[in-house]
Amino acid sequence: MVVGVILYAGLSWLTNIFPLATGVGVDIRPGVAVPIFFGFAFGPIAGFVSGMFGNFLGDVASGYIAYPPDPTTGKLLTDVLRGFQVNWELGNGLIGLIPGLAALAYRRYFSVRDQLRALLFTVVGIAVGIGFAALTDILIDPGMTLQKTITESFVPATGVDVANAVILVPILLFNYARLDLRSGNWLRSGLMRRLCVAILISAALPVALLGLFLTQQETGSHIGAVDLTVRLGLTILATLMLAVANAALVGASISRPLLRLTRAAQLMEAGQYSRTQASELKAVDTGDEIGRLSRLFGRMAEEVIQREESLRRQVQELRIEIDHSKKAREVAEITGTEYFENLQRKARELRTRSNLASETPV
Amino acid sequence: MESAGEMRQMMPRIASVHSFGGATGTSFTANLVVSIARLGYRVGVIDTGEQSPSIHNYFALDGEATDLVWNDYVWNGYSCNDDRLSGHSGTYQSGDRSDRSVVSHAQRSTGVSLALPIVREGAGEVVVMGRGIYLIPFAVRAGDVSRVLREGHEVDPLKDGIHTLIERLQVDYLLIDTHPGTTEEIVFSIALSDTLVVMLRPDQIEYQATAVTVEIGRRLHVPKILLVVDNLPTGFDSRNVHEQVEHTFNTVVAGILPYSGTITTATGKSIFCRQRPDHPWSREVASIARQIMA
Repeated sequence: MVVGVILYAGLSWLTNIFPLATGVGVDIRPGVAVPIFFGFAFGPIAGFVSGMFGNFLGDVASGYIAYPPDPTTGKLLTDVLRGFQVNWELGNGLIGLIPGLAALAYRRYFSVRDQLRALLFTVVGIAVGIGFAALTDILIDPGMTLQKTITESFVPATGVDVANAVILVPILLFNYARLDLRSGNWLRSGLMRRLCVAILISAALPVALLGLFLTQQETGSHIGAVDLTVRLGLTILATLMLAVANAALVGASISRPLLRLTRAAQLMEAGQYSRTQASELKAVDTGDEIGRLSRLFGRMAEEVIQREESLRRQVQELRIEIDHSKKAREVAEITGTEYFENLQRKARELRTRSNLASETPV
Repeated sequence: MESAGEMRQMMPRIASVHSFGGATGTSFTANLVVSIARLGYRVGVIDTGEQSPSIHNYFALDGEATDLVWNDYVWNGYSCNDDRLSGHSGTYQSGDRSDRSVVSHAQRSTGVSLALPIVREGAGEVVVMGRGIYLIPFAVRAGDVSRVLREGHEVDPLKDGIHTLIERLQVDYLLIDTHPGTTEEIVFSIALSDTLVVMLRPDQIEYQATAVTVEIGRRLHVPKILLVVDNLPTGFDSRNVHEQVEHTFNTVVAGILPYSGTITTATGKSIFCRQRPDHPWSREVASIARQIMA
């Protein structure tokens, strides 16, 4: 909750102090996604508190809070409400509260259906929140009319908030739904570090290049329009290539060890995984989760192979039992006859066939 | 490899293959015979068993007809003008029923055509004989063997009988496929043999029977006794089994044939070594064949 408050306040303040792309008609106000997200993720109270106090702190930091207000009405309650913009704080709280209430009934954001449902509550929340603030303005601001508050306050503010929320909330929820925050180790994730660095580089590069390009435009402004377009195109191309190369490298660095692991699992299933392969996998050290998984798999495979081998050794002993007294009896039955005794005497003679050709007349 | 011609001058060897399972023994013998013949020898094979399929079926021959021919040829001395069988041996195209052309006939004095079932196999030949061929000459009928043995004739009809058989057949090796049991005929065939091959499957009853047969072989002073473990189920380490069986029976294990569904179905009435000579199973049979010949 505190995190939500600080996040919302910080983002609001930042975007208030450093307006991004002003004059386009739509302010970039990513902060609004914070209370909505907190509502969806952690319930109505978290949504409400981060919306209300986040907005308040943000306004204070940005110097929007002026007490006593100008002009004063003389009525203490009205002045306090108006000076501290209490209705706007409450409105922002509602923006977080309504998604929070929705989350009480249903808190899954995996499918497209789930996401669309969440978006609906997001838009409703914003409309209700801003609507509440805009309408209450009439009561506390003497110079405010219904028409004025709708055209100057409700419509633009709702538009900005909805536009920002529609972009950011689904992304946040999508990742949140797949994130296992309970695992204590996720902050130390090597994979996360690598991905963060890669994405930061990918994001920073085009910005830096474009920035450089823009400053050049400012200083040396006597370039033709065609030349300008070519340079801009080249800059974009270079940025794109770098980003693609970066993405490919990161992708390969993740997918290759995973493919190797998959292959190992397939071989293991087929019973063709060798002990040397297992020890190779055990030696993998890439410093991230896949590396750890590979090492674990290698160790497990080695154990399993060893166990199988020892089991096989146990099973593969034939059990040969010969009843020697029975055998002696059976042999005696055959050898005890006169026939056998005579045959035994003659056996060697019968086999003598060395001088066959000369002995046997044909 | 020595040539078959040179070998023929040497003492022919008799090996009897003793199995407890009937058909599998005959199938194995057929494969063994083919493996030896491929090395360029003339190999005779006698099936003494009563079970079906007999050795003829493996070589796609008509058993009854050929046996009559052989009996007449070997024991009654009927033959064509040339006494040497090899001089006019007919050749059966092996395993091909559609091409069972009889290349040559032995003409009996009565004028009846006789076919000699000799199958060409690689560089060698297989002389196939079935139930009608007796190891004991016609002159000495069953029951008389005991008398002949007891009386100890000056001229030994039994010994002469075998000599006649081998001489007539002109074989380098003679394999006798015996049926399960220890009848007088089987004991006699063991007494004749230079090599006794006992086939056993991993089964308590067969272990016991093997022990008895090996003991009989020893008492009859068979120079070489070999064991073949057949139908070893998967999951056994053949080296362990080899060692264990050799140790238990105090007898050389010539080979271990693993159980294989492919071979079981393939060997229905054909010879697997012929179809798949490079298969591990065929190679194992070839290795057993070499140990019999060694």
